[in-house]
Amino acid sequence: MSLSRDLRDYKELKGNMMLEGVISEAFLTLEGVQDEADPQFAFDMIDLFISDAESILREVNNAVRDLRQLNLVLADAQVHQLKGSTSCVGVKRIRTLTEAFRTCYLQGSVDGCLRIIKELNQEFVFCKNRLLYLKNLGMQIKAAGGVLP
Amino acid sequence: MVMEIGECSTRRLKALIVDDKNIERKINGRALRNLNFETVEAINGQDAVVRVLSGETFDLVIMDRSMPVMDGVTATKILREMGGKFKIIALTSDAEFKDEFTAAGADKFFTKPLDPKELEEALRKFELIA
Repeated sequence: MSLSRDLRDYKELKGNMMLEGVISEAFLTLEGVQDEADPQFAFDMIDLFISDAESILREVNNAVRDLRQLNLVLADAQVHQLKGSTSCVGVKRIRTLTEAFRTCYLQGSVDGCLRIIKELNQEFVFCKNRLLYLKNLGMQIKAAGGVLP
Repeated sequence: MVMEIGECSTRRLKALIVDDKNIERKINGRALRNLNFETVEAINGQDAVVRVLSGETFDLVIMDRSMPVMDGVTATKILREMGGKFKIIALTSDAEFKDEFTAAGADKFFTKPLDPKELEEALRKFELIA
């Protein structure tokens, strides 16, 4: 009974996360390329994305920590890296912000850049929690012998 | 009756995945291994050039654009100048670099993320897979 409920929850969660822009077809593609030899590939990529994004955001935050010595060139380079990483899992919410940052950077809008960096940090926390919840539910289903939808 | 031993069956094709981001190397590598490629990774353009200079042979190169030390467009140009005949598929977040990559010698250009079905179609057109 619990397994069937978990399966329903997983399917619903994935649907909601697609609507929220936390995952996209890119994540479905990751699920599509995993096989019996590598059954957790999509979840492993979630972990990799989170680890990469945390590292990148640390660099971005360090680059703008001192308001008297902002390094927006470095921040821009790191945000561009983040854009690439988000494409892998399909985290559209963060990708959109990376594009907005680029626009502000090219326009020379320091306030805009700083505002978006703050939003990036907030969005990442939201997306990370959703992704880890999806992963943990998926692992729970697999441990119980279920097949993910 | 004498039985003759036939020649070895077709060798496995080999792809070099050039990207500074581990997650992208892993994902693109997975897609290629599903198409029965053997995969090797390079962390930037220079690493890719060094591998080819050292004599490693490849049938296909997946080349990211933005990398430290040596970017993908530069690496593509150098690999072609070195006489590299392998197919090069360029991969980038921005479509604006398509012309640069094509001028450098890339055979195909995709924006990220790489779609396994589009990859398979491109490899069929290259006649690398059936």
